[in-house]
Amino acid sequence: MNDAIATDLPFSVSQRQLFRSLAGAMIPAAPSSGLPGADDDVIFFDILCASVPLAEHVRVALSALQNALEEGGDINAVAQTLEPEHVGLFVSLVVRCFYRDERVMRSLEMEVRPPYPGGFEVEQGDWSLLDPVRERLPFYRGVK
Amino acid sequence: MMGVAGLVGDPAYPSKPAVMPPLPLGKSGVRLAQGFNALGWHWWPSDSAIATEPYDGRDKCANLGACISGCAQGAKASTDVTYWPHAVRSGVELRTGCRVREITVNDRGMASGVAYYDSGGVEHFLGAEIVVLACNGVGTPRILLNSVSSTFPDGLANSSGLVGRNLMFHPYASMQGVFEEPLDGYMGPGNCIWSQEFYETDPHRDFVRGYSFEITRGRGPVMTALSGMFTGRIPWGDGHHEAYRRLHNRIAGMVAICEDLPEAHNRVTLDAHLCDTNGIPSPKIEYTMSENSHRMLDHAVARGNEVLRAAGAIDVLTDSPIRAGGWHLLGTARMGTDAATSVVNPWGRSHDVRNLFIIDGSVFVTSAGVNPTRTIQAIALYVADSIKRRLTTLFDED
Repeated sequence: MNDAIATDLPFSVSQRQLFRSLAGAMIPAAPSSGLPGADDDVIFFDILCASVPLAEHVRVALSALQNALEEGGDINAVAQTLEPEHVGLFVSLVVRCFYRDERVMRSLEMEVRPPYPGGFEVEQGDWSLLDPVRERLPFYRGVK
Repeated sequence: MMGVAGLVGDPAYPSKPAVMPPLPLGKSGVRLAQGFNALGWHWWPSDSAIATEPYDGRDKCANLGACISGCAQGAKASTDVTYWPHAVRSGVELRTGCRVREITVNDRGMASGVAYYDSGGVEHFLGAEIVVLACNGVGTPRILLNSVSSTFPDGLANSSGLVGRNLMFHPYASMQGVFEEPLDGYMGPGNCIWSQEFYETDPHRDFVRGYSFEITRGRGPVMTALSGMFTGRIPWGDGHHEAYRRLHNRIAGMVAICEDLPEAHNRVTLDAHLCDTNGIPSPKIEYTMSENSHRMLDHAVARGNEVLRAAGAIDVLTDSPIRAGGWHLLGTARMGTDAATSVVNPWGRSHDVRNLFIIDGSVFVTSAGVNPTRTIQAIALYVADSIKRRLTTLFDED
């Protein structure tokens, strides 16, 4: 849960609108499977909050995107032509927040909880698979 | 100290005791083990510095995943929960946020202490009977080269001219298989098994030395999406969700850790212009990956593809050399018996300054085809034991 409110966020209205358009284009909603898009209210607010520590970089990247869009073209296609650090910033922020959304996690059949403290069960597996390896003679290089 | 999970009997390694039971194979480990067995190649449960039983006040692994981000359980044996608590309880004072500018020397050519800046930028001097450097393959030569005096005009401990030379990294290749059935994904430690089938030199290959395969159990949802989008496997926009679901929980693979070899032209020097915020000259890195390492990487990618297909992978994602890993900093103050061809002697003491010791990756003479931390720790413990054993003769000539 974020404690931030919208007016705390260091982005202008136009910057937020542009970022939201990009997020929704990058990961669109899939109504047939009940999946939100990354421009969903809850997810996009999470994206904005996650962007605060990187606000200066985000503003620069959004400015580069805005300039590139003035030449025209689809926002996804244009965004992917930006400098790699801008692309990486957008993708990492959008993906990180989208895939921790409760609705998305449920759709992936994940338990909606952090790993700690409950942890997970990982099966031991079939240790007899080691039998042929145990039969090998030592093959390391010994000290002379 | 660390507490290592492992299994006795690995034919690729000299006999050693197992402190704790190995990590579980899980679905991913079983899949990959079947692939190695199909080709008749070596594999074994990884030695892992992860507690699989309660150990030294730490609880056992709960398979949280994401070990690289830190372990809330405390099962991962990082030094903040292993060595440091013991050291602090034994009286060691840890000063954080400090930067050493230079090691000072007295008129007898012995180290007399260090000049450093605290986190507020205030300069201090700390006198010492002995100085132990543990700043690894870039930090250690940087301090030594910055420690210039009339007695040591080319930097401290540098009569051989080798301080900063022979810089080695670990060229890594990544091969990740996509499987049809769900694997462990985000659950459990990243590592589970390894293979040293191609570790030793084979004269039939076009390179010397070799590499280890370290199996990666799987990826969490964010890593799956990030790597998929950066490599074009998961599109932006239409088709994103369908492509993502083909990869979610269905990736397991490996990295190949290649043995980089020492070359004098790969080196750390001091930058002529760049300084840090304390005005200390910054290190400058010159490194070119050798043809031998390139060939080794190519071999590893080809063999990795083979074993993943043998394990049932329907697709293989490769990246070589990877940019995000393998930057282990090694070799720039090498160990040896001859003062003309090495910086420290076989028990870590500088040939030139007999109360100066180095216990980090800079003393490596080759990088080895494994991750270096356990070897660095072994060397540090060995040097510490050597110092204790020689207390009455510590400053004598070799």
